[in-house]
Amino acid sequence: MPEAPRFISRPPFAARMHFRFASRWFVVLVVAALAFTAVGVYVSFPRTFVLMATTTSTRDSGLLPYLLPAFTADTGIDVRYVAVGTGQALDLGRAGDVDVVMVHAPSLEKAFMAAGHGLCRIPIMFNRFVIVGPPADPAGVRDAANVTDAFNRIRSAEARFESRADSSGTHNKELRLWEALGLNPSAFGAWYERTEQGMGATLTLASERDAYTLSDDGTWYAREGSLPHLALLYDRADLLLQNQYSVIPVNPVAHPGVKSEPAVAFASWLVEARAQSLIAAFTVNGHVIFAPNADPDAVGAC
Amino acid sequence: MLVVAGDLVGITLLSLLVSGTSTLLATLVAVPLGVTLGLREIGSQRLLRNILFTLYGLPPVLAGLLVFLLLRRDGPLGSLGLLFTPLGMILAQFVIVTPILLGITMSVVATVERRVKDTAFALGADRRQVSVTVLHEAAAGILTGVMVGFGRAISEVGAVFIVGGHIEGRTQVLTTSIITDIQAADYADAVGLGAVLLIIAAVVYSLLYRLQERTLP
Repeated sequence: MPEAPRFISRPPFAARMHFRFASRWFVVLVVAALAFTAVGVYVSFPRTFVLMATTTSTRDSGLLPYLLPAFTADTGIDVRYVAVGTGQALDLGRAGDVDVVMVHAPSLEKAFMAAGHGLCRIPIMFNRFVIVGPPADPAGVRDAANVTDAFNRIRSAEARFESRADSSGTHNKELRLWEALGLNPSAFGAWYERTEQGMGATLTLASERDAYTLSDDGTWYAREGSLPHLALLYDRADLLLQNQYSVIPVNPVAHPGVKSEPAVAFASWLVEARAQSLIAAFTVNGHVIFAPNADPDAVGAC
Repeated sequence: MLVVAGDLVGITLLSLLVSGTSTLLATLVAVPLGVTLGLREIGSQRLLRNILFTLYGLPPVLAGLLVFLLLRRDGPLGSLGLLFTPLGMILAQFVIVTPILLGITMSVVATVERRVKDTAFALGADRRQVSVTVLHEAAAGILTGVMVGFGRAISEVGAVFIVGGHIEGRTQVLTTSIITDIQAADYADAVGLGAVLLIIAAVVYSLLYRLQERTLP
């Protein structure tokens, strides 16, 4: 230890030097931390935009990136969104963490409204669920008489099936279809796999594992090109496969912090002829996805 | 979604801002605290160390969940309106980085102290001078802790996804963008973002490494 003798010869000086060394770093650190935090505060507040909670399908299909700029151009209101499962989207609305929700699970939406969390529930449009699976179609889904028959064939063949299992609108629909057959997936064997992930991730899994799955047509057409081991096997205008989307501004009485006025403006804009025709004109890789079916009178409840 | 150049810059800057701020704030809290705890023999120190090493392995996704529950409007800090903001993400990463940095600082200081103390006392140093010497000798090790902490923060995805919400032009960072790119099968974009992440790591680490060399005794 060559430095050690300094304690004997010049202790006060050495100590001062070390303290100066440490305090200089401390000052640099404090200044940097303050500056960074200030930038963090600057980019966090104030929130000037309307915040919407919606499902991954509206993002993954590309509808929101297509629709929102038109709304902003018409009204000057900025809408941003978090894309989560329907379960979490409604929960964020329930807590007042977002200003408006756009989801596709009518039964859950009705419960949300009944509990007083929503100002009004406005049906906007619908798309369709499709069944995709291995091109060889070992369960014979292509020949099914209807969608429940298709599901029954998958179960009879015990062909591998990927369930979203994530409380999403799509998962909700899948459970309803098994229910229509008088079946409960909890009794299913190893062929029934639960991904607990979004539509995109579940499609990738189904493709890699030669499995069937239920998908919304928008995500399917957006992802089709990257799923070489999957084919569209059941795509018919079955009423059971209709997927209704609604928009619900969060109730400002229950949650005083929400930006209610611009949220209602957004909902009202969606039912207008311009937005409805924009929705009808929206295509994914050449396929029309959404059929607008808004009821203009529904806005009156807001 | 295809990442355009402007988005990429914004996403990269936000990644740096969130992880940089959380690491700086964690340093400010953890280093003085870790030095104090490392230098002093406290009776309950073993218990404290056990708690700390448990937090050391705190899964980022659990930290994200806890901060999410804390920040939502119904939660204890709901009135601050920090959910789905960069500041909220900073808080989440602060929770992840602080125990790591605290643990490393404590270990480094305690180890150096054991090595230096007797010699320094023998050479006539008083209590304060011993502390100063230990601090000087431990600086390089503490800086390693800062590097590890920043590495954990910038590569972390679970907490920033839950607390940030991945809002376009607002709370999207490199790691969350990679996840959503993979979900949308934009693998080329995902790889590109991964490359940016790697470049950031290379630049930041080479800077910190240079700093570390200067602090070596």
